[in-house]
Amino acid sequence: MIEAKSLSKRYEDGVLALDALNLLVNPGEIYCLLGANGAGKTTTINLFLNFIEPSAGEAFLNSINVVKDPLEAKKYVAYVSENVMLYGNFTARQNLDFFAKLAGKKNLKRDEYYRVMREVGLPEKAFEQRVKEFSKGMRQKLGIAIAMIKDAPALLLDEPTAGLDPKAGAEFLETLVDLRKRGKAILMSTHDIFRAKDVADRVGIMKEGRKVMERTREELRYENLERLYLDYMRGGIGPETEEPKAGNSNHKESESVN
Amino acid sequence: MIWTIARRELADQLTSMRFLVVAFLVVGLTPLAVYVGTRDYINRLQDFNRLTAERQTLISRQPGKVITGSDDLFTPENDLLVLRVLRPPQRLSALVKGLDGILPQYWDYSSSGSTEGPPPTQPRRLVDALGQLDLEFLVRVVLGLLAVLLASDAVAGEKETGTLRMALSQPVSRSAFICGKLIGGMITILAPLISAFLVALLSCQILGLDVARVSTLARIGLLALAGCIYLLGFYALGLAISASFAGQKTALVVLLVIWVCSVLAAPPVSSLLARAITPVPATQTLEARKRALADDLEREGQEAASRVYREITGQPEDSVSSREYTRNKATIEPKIAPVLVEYINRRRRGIDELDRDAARRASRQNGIAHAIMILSPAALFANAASDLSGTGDMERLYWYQAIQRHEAELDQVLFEDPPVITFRSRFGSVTVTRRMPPTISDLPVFVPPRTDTATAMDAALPSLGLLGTYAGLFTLGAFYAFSRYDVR
Repeated sequence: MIEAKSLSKRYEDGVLALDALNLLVNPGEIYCLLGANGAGKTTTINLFLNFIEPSAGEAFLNSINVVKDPLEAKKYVAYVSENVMLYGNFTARQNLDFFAKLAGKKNLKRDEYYRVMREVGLPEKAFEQRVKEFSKGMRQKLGIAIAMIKDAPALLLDEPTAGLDPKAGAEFLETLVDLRKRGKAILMSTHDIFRAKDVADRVGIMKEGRKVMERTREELRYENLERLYLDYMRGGIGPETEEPKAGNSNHKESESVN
Repeated sequence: MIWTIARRELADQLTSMRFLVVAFLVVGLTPLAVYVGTRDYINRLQDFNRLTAERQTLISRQPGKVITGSDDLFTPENDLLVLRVLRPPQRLSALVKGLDGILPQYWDYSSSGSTEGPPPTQPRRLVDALGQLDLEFLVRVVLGLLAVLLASDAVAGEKETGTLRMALSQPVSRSAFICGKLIGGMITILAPLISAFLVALLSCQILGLDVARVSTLARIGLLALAGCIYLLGFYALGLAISASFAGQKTALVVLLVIWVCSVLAAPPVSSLLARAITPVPATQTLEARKRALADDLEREGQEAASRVYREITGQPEDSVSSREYTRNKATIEPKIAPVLVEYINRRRRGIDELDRDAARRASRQNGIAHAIMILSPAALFANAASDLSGTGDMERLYWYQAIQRHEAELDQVLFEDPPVITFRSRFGSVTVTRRMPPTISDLPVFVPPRTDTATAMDAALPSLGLLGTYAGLFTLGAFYAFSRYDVR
């Protein structure tokens, strides 16, 4: 479970990067955060990873406060960045082994690593290949493999499909759907409205540090996400007011759609 | 967890091109440095043995020879050669040259005090004066540079490549991460350091320089330990700088500036500032002042001697006839002797005062230079390494103290109240025996400074302590900087 309660971040230069974000991603759910550059998506993920401290509010991973007990919280989360960067001189298996050990998974056998790499669709010949020779798509797959070997209940994905070719992007999303089936709570920030629409159980649109809209998959059947997104980005629609219910994903929204 | 990070760091660094290049350079240059150092040491040892043998021959030819300490004010004597004190070269100068080739080869004593002999090796070419290749140089300069290169991207580099975010998204504390980096980096740097020392030991044995003694091995071990502390300090400083900048290039530039200041600039700058603050007269100037003083006093001595002639004969020395001199000889000579002793002692005291003043200034200058140098870990390592090898500033100080002690002892026995006064007059050289002069065996024996491992350790302890303090502070700095590092 991934949860934010009135989470805010104001940087030292006074910029309010995140403004009272309320968010809940339940197990077996994919939540996509959409928004332009600087909307606060990556700041949200940085806050969950405790890379920065919130100015106000709280963030929880598996109900553990990430500020109060960051190491315990990180046991329950896996992270895949926009551009998975690994140790280039190491092979895929060596990278997997290193991050598995950091995640506390010791004494894993070689077969175990191979199995996970097969699951994410890495070709066999890449298993013992140096990562510096990998394409971006292969690195992203290895990033997912690292997340899978950790077997964390929550996943934070920061624009993971950016720059991937359509095939690699589609394969990546298939893996995400598979992870959802395994009960993982997945929070994914992305610019890709179409893919978000394909896989997300809920979609939130962020603008200038605020979550201005949230829709469920069900609601999106009757609304055009692309149109909504563009309207919000153009500033034609004001933010929805939120009345978050702790532990409940069904937010009441008082719409102010023009 | 820490070991996992350390092993990854180790594997990554050990296979990097910069490590391989620098490590091969150090390990490859070590036998050459040891060969040059050993050959130099053996040459100096042969010189020392030759001079010792010459002195022994001189003594053994005339076993009962008395040493008059005869004044060289008017009649220089060469028998003072037996008073010569010879300084043996230090065995470990083959590894750390330090001051061993610059300190005097011997000291001579006379009623004018002690005079330094020439240094055993003098630079003949410009490149000789620019630096000397020895094990200390390889550790201080080349491995110091390697530590800087490896540390510069340890944190900032991982941030740039994005692996830092990946690693810290795992349940790893920042202190565990930096600790792992520190351990991995240190093992990487210690590999060429230990290899270089092993190659040096092997080279010494092959070249016939016996170092397989407990005391020598203990010193070499301490030398290696000093190297470890120095490199740990530099690596930790590198980590602290790397964890203070977002970009690896900025961190590298800052570290290179620090490295240049510490390794290349600090020693000459400290010497320059110390010389500007407390100037010390050059050796030639000092010698010229001594000569001027001696000339003045010689003139005064001759005038005083003339007065004795006048008192006894009623006319100045120039006007005294040979017959008159012979008639009054028994009266003139005993009266002239104490007058001359007074002038000899005045000259000795005057020269002593000049020497003491120069020594005081030199000591103050050294103090200032050291005070500035302690800001540089590289200078501290050079101090510690040379002190441990018996070729450092402390060795020089111990020798000068021993030389002064011996000078005071000789003064008491021989020079303060000379048993024999020899002087020239118009009527030839005159020797006045005032008391029975001592034989060679009566003279005080020169006690050389202690050169055992414990003394070397004592000498090196302040530098080692400061080096350790720096390493500790830099390590804390690395932890602190990384605890605040923006990993975004």
